[in-house]
Amino acid sequence: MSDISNIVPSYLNKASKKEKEAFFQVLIHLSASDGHTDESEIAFIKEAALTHKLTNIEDLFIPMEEGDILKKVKVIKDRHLALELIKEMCMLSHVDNLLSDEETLFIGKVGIALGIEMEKIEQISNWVIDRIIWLEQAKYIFEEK
Amino acid sequence: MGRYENCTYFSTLYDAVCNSFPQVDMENARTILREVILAPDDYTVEFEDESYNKKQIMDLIANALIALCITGSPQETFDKTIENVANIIKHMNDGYITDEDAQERRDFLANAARCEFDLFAAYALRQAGGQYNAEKMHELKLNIIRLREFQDLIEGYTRDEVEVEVGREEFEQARPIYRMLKSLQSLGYDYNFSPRERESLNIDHEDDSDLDDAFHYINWLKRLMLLQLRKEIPVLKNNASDFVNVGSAPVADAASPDDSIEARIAQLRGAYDKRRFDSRRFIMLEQSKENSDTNEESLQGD
Repeated sequence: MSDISNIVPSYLNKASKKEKEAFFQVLIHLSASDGHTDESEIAFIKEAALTHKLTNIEDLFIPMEEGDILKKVKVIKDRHLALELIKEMCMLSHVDNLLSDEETLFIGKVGIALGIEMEKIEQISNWVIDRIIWLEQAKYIFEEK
Repeated sequence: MGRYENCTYFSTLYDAVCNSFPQVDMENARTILREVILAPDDYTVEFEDESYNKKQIMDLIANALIALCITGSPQETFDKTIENVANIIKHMNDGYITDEDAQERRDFLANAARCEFDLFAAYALRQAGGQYNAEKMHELKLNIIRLREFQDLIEGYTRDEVEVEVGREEFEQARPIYRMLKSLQSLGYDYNFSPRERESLNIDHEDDSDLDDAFHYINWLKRLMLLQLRKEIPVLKNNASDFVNVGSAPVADAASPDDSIEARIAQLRGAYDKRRFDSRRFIMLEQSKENSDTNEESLQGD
């Protein structure tokens, strides 16, 4: 939960309603891809969606076929927004310790649907993980652990 | 320190000293081991009119440790181990877990954990002792990696339960692993799981930080020795005044704090590395899914 709560959603301010919906539906689908959804993740996604004036939140949580989501996500044309979505996916998938096969597959497929290169996804994932390691290192160095 | 910090198998180091110097009793074995790990590099020991330097003693102990695990030729040991792993995967997933099945699993895991410790300690002693035959070191490292992978395989693909039914799904999951082990066995001693197989099975130990060339093996040995001494001499905790030369710091703090942080960060990095997105893994998973979809379609067509 602490990881996804770091989402700074300012880049969503300029997004259209459809882009925002697709953005959150991808995260919702990812959070359930390993067969288990954390309540705190759901609460956070709901809150973030509300902040962005999405009133049909319950509809966003209706399970969708992966193929439909991959079609829907193509509505995101802005590259920066697409890169931010990949970043949020990498952060969200980190929460349960291991990047599962399902999560790897879904992140890659969303990346392809958004026209993001594999190398770029790796760069983003590495940046997310390096950042987490850096924060964890601080706990050792400042003797908080 | 990670995997071995509870010192569960430390006593096999004493056994190895006793096996290297058959005239030595357990008390003297303790002294030799402690001094060879903690003494300065120019340390020598006189024994039975022979003089041994630190590196020689380390080599002898390392060889004795390896001999505890590898009986017969390395090929024979490998064959026997892989046969055991394949059988456990098969017996634990063939419908019902009997007492014998569970015992077979427990025995293997206990033996593999001890052997892994012995081989790692031998690897550390050889690394700390200086230059050693690169081919032999590679072989030793490969054996440690294999033992870690085999333990992960068994822990990941068999249940830690007894007298229970095992479903069709688990059987289907275990079947390709059994086949893979059998084909690996037929390839011979020099072969191991491919990087893709290791990754998809989530048993990858190729990049473990404690097998990296940059790992400080002598520090690991010293820390291990100190942890063991703390277990053997609990009086240090309660009666520090008897050990004036030790100073006020407890033994556990004797290792440099920087070293400890460095080791923990290396461990942390190793754990987090498995959470990175890897495009090769994605492509492999996608191909594998496509193949399975195609197979399903062809089965439906039939």
